[in-house]
Amino acid sequence: MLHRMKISWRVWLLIGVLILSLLAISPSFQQGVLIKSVDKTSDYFASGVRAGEIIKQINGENIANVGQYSQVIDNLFNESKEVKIEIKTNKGDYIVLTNSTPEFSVDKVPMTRIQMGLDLIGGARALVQPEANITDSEMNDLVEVARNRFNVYGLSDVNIRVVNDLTGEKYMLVEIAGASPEDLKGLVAQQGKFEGKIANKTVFEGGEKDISDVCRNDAQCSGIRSCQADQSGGYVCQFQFAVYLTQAAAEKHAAATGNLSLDSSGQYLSDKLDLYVDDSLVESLAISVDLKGRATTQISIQGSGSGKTQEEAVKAAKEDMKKLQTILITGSLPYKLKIAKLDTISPILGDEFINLILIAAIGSIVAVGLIVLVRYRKLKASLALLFTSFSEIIIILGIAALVKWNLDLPSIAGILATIGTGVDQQIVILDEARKGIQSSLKEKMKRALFIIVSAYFTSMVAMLPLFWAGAGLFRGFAFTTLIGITAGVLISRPAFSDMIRAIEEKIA
Amino acid sequence: MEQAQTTEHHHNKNWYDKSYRWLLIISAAFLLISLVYLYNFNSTQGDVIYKDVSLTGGTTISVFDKNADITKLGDTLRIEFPDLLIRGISNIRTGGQEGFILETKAEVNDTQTALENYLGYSLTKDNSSIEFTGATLSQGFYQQLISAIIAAFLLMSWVVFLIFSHDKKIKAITTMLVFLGVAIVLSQVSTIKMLSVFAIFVSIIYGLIVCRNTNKEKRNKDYLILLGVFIVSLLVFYLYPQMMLLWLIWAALIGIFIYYSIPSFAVILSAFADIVMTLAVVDFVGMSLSIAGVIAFLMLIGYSVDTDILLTSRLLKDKEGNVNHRLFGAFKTGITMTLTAIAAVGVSLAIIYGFSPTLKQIFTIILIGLLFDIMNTWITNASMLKWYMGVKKLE
Repeated sequence: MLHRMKISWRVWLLIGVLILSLLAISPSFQQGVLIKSVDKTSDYFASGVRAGEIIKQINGENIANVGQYSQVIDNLFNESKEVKIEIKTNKGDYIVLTNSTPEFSVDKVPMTRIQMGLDLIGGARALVQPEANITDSEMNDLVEVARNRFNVYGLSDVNIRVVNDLTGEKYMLVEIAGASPEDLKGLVAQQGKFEGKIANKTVFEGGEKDISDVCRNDAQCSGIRSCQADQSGGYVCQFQFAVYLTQAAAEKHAAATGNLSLDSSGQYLSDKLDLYVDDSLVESLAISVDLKGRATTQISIQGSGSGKTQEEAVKAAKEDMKKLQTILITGSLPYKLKIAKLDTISPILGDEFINLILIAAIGSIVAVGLIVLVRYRKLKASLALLFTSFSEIIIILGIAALVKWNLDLPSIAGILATIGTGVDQQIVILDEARKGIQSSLKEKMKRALFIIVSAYFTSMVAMLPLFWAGAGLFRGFAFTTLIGITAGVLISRPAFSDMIRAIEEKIA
Repeated sequence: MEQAQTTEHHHNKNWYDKSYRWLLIISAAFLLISLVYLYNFNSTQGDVIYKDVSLTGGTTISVFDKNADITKLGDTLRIEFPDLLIRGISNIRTGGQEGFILETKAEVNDTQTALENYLGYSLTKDNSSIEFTGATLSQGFYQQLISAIIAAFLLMSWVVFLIFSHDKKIKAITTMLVFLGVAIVLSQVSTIKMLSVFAIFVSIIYGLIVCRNTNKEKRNKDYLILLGVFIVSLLVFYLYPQMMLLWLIWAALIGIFIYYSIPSFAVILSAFADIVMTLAVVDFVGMSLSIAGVIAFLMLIGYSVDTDILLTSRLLKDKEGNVNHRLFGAFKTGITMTLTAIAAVGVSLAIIYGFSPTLKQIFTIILIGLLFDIMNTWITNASMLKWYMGVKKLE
């Protein structure tokens, strides 16, 4: 005879929340490469390429991942001549004629909507403190200026927030996931006070007062000009870019050069244009004689980068150039900053880490299931228990995806820990139900509930300090644990007790 | 109230009834040994734990070089960095070395340069991870984590007392004291200060309401006591919120717990013992704790109390059978709970063992804590409860 198991509303609630969580996670298996941001001044932006699109093909070749993408781009652009590049994305086809490599950042297509933390996908994290005591609103201003600096540099995927720790100290926490510049230090901690001085008098400073525009992404007025080997066996590359001064700054330039004499060669003025960043001299440029006394609005900034190979030198020069361009445009940060903590995390082991975590999670669930089976010898109850545990994990992940919580190492530790302790309450329920005594099933469940709710409040209260302690770096653990036990107490465990009731009543 | 008729009184007491007090003494001895060890440790080391570079300040560099000879590298670099620690990263799936991690208190630039010179290539994001924590920040972290643990323990004790005690007036007084303590320990966080003041006000109002319905003489005495505690709390809060007062508050709380609810005291003592014994073991094997390690102790507070609450609930609130029956039933449930937690944490620990030092430390500490929890719940706590129930004739 077939008994139809009546599904109570609590079980429906659990199923409903599960489905919503899966939707929030929205797993997908698309091939290709995701465009994370497009430089608005580039040819590509002009042709219609936008952030969020997924590249499927370039010039007819299928692109399945970032490795293939890099290879195809390198092959196309290995000579510095103009190239026709046909990009096919999931939103459209774009044809661009250009000689500069794509000025957009790419990443692999995410498999889920869960925001992966730095520990899994690599990135950089900095805790920065202003060297003066500043108020909360000044702190917020600092965050805005810093964010602007990152955006101008080309990084839009930056998470900056103010962090108060338990001693009342204020920090700026900067987190950049995925690809990030080798030298995050320069962008974050450098106040970025740029000054151009002639004969020790400041002619122009970084920022919109003196600088009306800076040439970027246009090979004609900015780029790497030459590379050579140097004595120590490495390489040095020179870069150059044009800077457009405002009229006021140009006139200051005229005034400063007007009184200078010529140098020994007769082609340049006796004093050089000294470029200072944060009070240290980075470059001295000779001033050509025909600029003497002229209010010129266009000047050329030069510099260099070095490395052990030519490739490294080119990369270093490009980064230096970009940094200089950025601080010329944005001006200096309002306060001197001190780096209290700086982590650069490689993405290399990230994928393997995810594999290991999945194995650990499945292994734990299986181990727990075996213990439960041995203890209770009831397959149905054990399966119901495993189902409940598993659904709690999905719910945690779903909520994390929904609120865009960064799934970092502490968060994952919290989820793994929940597997072991999540079943505790089910065990209490199961044992209460088994006691062959006089009280009704309802009363037994009430007693179980008392224990469960008490344990819930003690756990909750113990987790709370984690939101502030240690600059909140471990709040992920508190978050996932709290979501886990709350979802447990409100949704999955009441559903489990209904399932048990149905199973027991069928047997009775 | 009907008392369950036990057959116990007519039979000889079994061995457990005769010897549970001895078991309590044994576990108390363990606790004492651990405390003495920690005291000794503190005198020689200056603190209760060995700290790694995330708590003292320093640099950690992970390099994903499968072929590096770790011993040779360590020996060479130790000439310049005598405190250098180096260990391999291994992957249980591939079974091989994925790279190595080194730690030193030195500055990141010096360390990175020396390492690059040895390896012969530059360290970039494609082959390494670099973490650096300044000394001031890390020491600040350590202070805060200690404060967080004290606050969590205070709050946990408060919840336990609320659950298992009966006198409402005393619950109000305890609430005021606990939140005063929390406010002192976490005095720099304004949200917590506001919450604490709010809690103190709510408890005085609750206490006054609850005391309304007794006879006049008792009522006035109760009002006086409540208002006294209230005024003293506020005075201390605003005028003299010093950490030293925390000892006084703890002494007062422990006194209240012992006098009004031994079951609560037993739970809290058992949780305390879990932490102390785990700490002693961790120090004994020479583990250097990172930020994650200290936080693992915070997690332990939550986990260790679950089984104690189960035990106390079953013994005090259930009516069937005699104490030993209930105790044995609770033991079956509780040990299953602890075993599943040990299994889950153990499996996770084994899988990520060589791969993630942070997770390894967290899971190791939780595992040790869970093992001690078995003794502290089912011997320390259980024996104290049984003694209490015998004395109060609750059997």
